Formats: sequence, structure tokens, C-alpha cells
Amino acid sequence: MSELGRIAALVCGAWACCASSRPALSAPTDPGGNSHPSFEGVWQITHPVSQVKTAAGKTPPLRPEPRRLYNERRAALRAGKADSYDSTYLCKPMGEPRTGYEGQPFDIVQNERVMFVGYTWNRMVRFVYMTEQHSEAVGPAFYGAWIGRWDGDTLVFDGVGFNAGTLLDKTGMPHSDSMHLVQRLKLKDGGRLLEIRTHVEDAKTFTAPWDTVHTYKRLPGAQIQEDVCPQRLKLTIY
Amino acid sequence: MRRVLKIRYNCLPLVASATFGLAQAQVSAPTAKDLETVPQFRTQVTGQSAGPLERHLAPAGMKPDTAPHDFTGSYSLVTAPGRMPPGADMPVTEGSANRGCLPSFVTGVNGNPTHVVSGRDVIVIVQEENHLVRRVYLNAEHPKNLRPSVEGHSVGWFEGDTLVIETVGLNSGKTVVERLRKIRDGRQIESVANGRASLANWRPDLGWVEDICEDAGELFGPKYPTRDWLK
Repeated sequence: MSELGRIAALVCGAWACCASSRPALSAPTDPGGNSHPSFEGVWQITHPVSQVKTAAGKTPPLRPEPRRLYNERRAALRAGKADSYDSTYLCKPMGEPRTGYEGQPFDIVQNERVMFVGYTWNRMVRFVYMTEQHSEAVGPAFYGAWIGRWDGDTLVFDGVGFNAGTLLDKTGMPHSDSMHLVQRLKLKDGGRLLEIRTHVEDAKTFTAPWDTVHTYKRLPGAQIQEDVCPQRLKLTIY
Repeated sequence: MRRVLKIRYNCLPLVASATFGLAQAQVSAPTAKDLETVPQFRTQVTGQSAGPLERHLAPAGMKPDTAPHDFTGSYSLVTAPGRMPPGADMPVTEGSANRGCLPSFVTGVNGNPTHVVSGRDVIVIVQEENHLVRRVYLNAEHPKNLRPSVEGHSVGWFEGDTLVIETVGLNSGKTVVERLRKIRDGRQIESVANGRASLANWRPDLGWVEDICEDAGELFGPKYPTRDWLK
């Protein structure tokens, strides 16, 4: 083993020793008393996302017309004209999954019947009903309509009924109202980290389904601060 | 009303449709008629007083969750279309009354449909209208050096089966204390705040309905509307 390798092994060994001796943060039970891990708390993305990539690090496989639109948006972004395509400049909702991407914390409140996800950005929210079937009367809504279930210790969120007016990221990645998202939420590192793998199905926009994976860190003791977008962007006289 | 006719955008707030099962937002291209469905603008646009939202009662046979410390559920105020329940009063409110899409502070579970999720350490109370979100931190303390805000900072604790919520840090500087409890076998929540009481009905058939005031804001031009602008 090289000298560098020995040092690396020493460091990694030391880290592993310290990590394993730290108490896990995830509670053994959720508020309903079931033996599910607790996702409740405040979370923040570890590496903010401007441009969403697939799990393999590639640009999602856009169809020709959405690709043309996306290229136009990227040109507008480079020209400093993101507000020409990004309606969040008018405080319209960021939508899912983008709202968790740009660095502002969100919280999860956990109950066996419904999970709440609350974003800092302009008080946007999601309710995930722990039920088996989507309602027939769904959307389109900016944040879609969500149901959830447990798969062992993994939370699975299933969303449909999205308003096509939102973007998947800051660069203008489009989606249609046919988008179907399946998110798998898994706690890691003793509950200190949250991994969300999002499966995107949208045959109108992409040539094939694709996955994207992001990691969020828990912020112990943190609380979501109030954000009022129309006031922050001075869109209102009040 | 001329500005209303210059509608040019293609997103919008909701036309809520309550069906058996979860009710969800229905979003389509906006029209002038749609503005009447936006609670924030209904009065200005139609000239009529905004009355209580009409919602159905919980269907017969559905059983509420009677666990006294779990307030999770969806709630609405009226017991019958157009009528306030006997003894009900308006909650304590302060703020913009949602003018300019700015949030308001509203106590308890009342008014617009309200959705509650009881977690382990926090209870979140969310009003549909203008997505007003209140977080009640259980058995916690208010932070020092609190920055005033519309919703303030709320902590809560149980006295028996009554949830006591203390809110400080409001823009007005006031302290508001509320007491919430489930009554009638969980079919209603009684909210008492600063001596004023309101009742809300448990509605298991309702799900969260998006009400995005900001979506309608653009219809009125670059600045969100004022009452004067609509004359």
C-alpha cells in the first residue's frame, strides 16, 4: 500500500470509529407509535442544485421540442433574463422537486395518516396522504397531489396532477402536466442525512423515465423562518 | 373592471371541487369569472361580502379520530351552507387580511378550510387561503431575539386534553393565547383565543386544496392589487 493509501486508511478508520460512536438522531418510532424511523425535522440540501441532472450525472433525456425550449431558456439565463421564463420572479410557486433544491430549508412533520412538507420559500407546502390510491379529482396543482406509503424504513411519495407552469430547476428544465414523480426518502448516517431519489416519468417531455438523487442534511434545533415572497421581491405596495 | 379584461396569463387559482374522497385543486386557464373564486379578491371583484365557504358536512358513517392529543385532520367552519354554528365567533386576526397576497395571522382552526398535522415535536396548522402556515412547537421555548413576523412564534403544551398555544413575536407585539380541544367525539375542534371562540368541523373527506394568491396577482399587472386600483 502506498504512503498515501496508508494515510487515507488511517483517516477513514478514525472517521468510521468516530461516526459509529455518535448517537443516531433518528427516533425509533414516529408520532403514531409505529416502528418507523422519524423523518421529522428541518432539512437542507447539502449541495444546492441549479441544473438538475440524472443519477448518472447527465442532462435528462428531453424530446426535441422541449429541448428546443430548454435551450432557449438557457440562452435567456446566460443573458441575465431568467425572469422571461421563470415565474418565481412573480412569486408563483417553484413546484416540486425544485423548491428543495436551491438551499432554503424545509421541514417534515410526520404522522401515520399524513406527512407534511413545509418549505421556507413563500410558505409553500405539500401534504402526502398515507393512503393507497390517488383521488380521482386531482390537479393540476403547482405541487401536485401526493400519496405515500412505507417500504420498510423507506418513505415512498407518489405525486401526480402537476401544473405545467413550474420548472424542474433554475435553468428552465421543463415538464408537462403528465409528469408522475415517485420519491424514495431514506435516512442515512444515523438519521443525520436524508437521501431523496426522485423518479421522473413524463412521456410528453422526456424520451425515457429518469432518476435524480439528492442528499439533505438535518438541521437539529432549526425552525423554518417566515418568507413572504411578494414583500421580499417588492411586488406589492403593502 | 377594465384591467380585469386584460387577462393574459394561463395559470390560476382554484375552483375547489369537493367530491367524496380527497378534494383537490382544479386549475385551468383564468377568466374574469375565476377571479370571483379567489377568496382574496372576491369582495373587490363582485362587490359582495365574502361569506363563509360552503362545504359539506362530514358524510354519515365516517368516524373521527378521537385521540385527544392528535389534531391531525382537515376542518372547515360552517355546519351548514351559509350559516355560522351557534356561539361561533370570528378568530383573533391581524395583518393584511391577505391583501397583496401578504399572509395574515389567524388563530385556531376556523375560517377557510384548515389542515392540521400533529407530529412528535410540532403541530402544523395550515389554512388553505393564501397558504397560511403556523408551526406550534411542543414543549419548547420561544427563542431569544425573535424577529417580529406575521405568524409570530408559537409554542404549545397540553393541559389535559386541551392544547394551549402561546404566540409571541407578532408584528403587533401582542401575545395571543389559544386553547384548542376536540369536542363531540372528535367531530369538532373548539378554539378559544383571547376570549373569542370558534368551532370547526372535522372533514375527513377533504384534502388539501391549493390556493395560490400569487398566481392571480399577475392578472392585475406588475403590482398586486389594491382596493383603489379595482375602482
